[in-house]
Amino acid sequence: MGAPKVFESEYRFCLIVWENEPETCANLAKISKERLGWSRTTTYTVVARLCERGILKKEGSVVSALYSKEDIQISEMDELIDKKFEGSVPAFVAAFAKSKKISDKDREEIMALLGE
Amino acid sequence: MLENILKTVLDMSLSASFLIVAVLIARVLLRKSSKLFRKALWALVAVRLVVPFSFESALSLVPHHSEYVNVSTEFSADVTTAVTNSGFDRSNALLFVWLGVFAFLVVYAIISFLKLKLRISDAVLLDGNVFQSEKVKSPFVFGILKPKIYVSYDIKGENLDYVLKHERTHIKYFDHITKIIGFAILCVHWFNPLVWVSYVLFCKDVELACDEVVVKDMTAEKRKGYALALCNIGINKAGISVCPVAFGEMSIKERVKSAISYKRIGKIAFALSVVLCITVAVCFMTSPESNVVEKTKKPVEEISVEETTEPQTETVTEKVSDPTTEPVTEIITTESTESPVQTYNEDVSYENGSLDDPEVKERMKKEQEETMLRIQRMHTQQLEEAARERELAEMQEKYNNKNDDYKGTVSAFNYREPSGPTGGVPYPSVPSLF
Repeated sequence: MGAPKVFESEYRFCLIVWENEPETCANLAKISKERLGWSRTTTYTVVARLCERGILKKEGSVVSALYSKEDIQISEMDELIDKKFEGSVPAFVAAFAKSKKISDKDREEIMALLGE
Repeated sequence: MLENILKTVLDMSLSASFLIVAVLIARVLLRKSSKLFRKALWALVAVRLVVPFSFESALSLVPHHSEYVNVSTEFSADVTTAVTNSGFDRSNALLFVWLGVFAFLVVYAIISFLKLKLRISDAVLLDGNVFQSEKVKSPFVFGILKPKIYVSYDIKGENLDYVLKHERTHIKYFDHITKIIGFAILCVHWFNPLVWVSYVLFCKDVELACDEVVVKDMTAEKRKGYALALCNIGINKAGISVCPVAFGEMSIKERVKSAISYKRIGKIAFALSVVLCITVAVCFMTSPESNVVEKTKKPVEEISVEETTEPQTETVTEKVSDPTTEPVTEIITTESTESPVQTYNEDVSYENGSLDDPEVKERMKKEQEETMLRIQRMHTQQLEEAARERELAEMQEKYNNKNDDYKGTVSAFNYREPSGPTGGVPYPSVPSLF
């Protein structure tokens, strides 16, 4: 079972949490105001929402993430492959290779990953 | 007090209806011209719907209609005075319906405004006043003092440029505010279908005008790109979604067509458009001169009301000691109660000044002379009127036996509103208005 669904705006906020965790709500609100243009209440609302869905946890006033960035990315990708590529990973990779130019350095990295 | 407001609103709605019809026609004539003229015309309509008074003009093409409104409101006023103490009150019912729907629309607008605000509260800042949110389907401007542009995450690159150009133009022209004003006016005049038509067309014209401004300085190729962006993203949905009524959605086809086929209008076309707009303003923003109405009003009727409005006249007659002026003031006050256009109410100003004051005395004297003149005039009018009526009666008699149709028209010409429960409400016969 993958990580729960995180919407785009929430993801942008999670990026801040991952960068700074563990961090107090107040500080997160400060950063969010600067980077996302959020009001303080919005930050608190979103934190509450994400805690409810089990993505973040809040102990006292300190917020930390229950899922890592990779968890979320993987579950996002799984969903994409399921929905748009009928669950076929090769079809997904083929489409990926076709649309994006892969540099030599990227190729090396990918080959290294696949070799593991 | 509230009844007066309702009456004023009805009056404004009615006089604006003539203007709206004129604007609808002018819109068709202006279809090849700049869309900004259409916006100007809607501004005229808005002013007419909001400002309770208007200038009199001999050029006015608005039929004198206050009497028509009187029919409806005076009917309700009659009922009010007749049954103020009884449980059911028809005029109050009307008033409550009007207020109720008004309140409903306002509350509905506020709630949807707040709901939307909550929905997009977690939109993420992109740049300046541009925010992105996955909850936004088509881009819109939100906010009043600090308007922000909201777009979805899917819009990127060139399309985003076009969208932002469009929305920024909206903000530049204060469209986000005028749309709110438009809706507020609609809330007040909700009972007038023509105002709904106006609101829908106004929303459409705002979009078209905005497209026009965006496209004006673009090359043909960029215009195509803009038109494509319109199709792809659908800037179609009511561009500014503070407009809580969603039917403002207009056909993309028309917008694409007008964006691609935009041509700068020539000097002559521009001048003609200006002239047309001014003509509409002069002929339909103004009200007809009131002395025309005075002439058509029948003095006989005016005097006949004397008795019914006695309580109001007494107060004035007591103050003016000179016995010769007594009947004068009586007539005058009855007249002023029924035609608000006249300003004889000044007479009441004696209340404040002492009668011994030489200035006041002199003024009174002058006033008396004037009133005497007025009476004479009225008397001659009466005589003329009586002569006319005699003539009519003769004619009627003459043709009575010969021609039934003619008899019908004559009696229609002489038609008078039967006295209501509170006594004679003066009501000029309908054909004499024209």
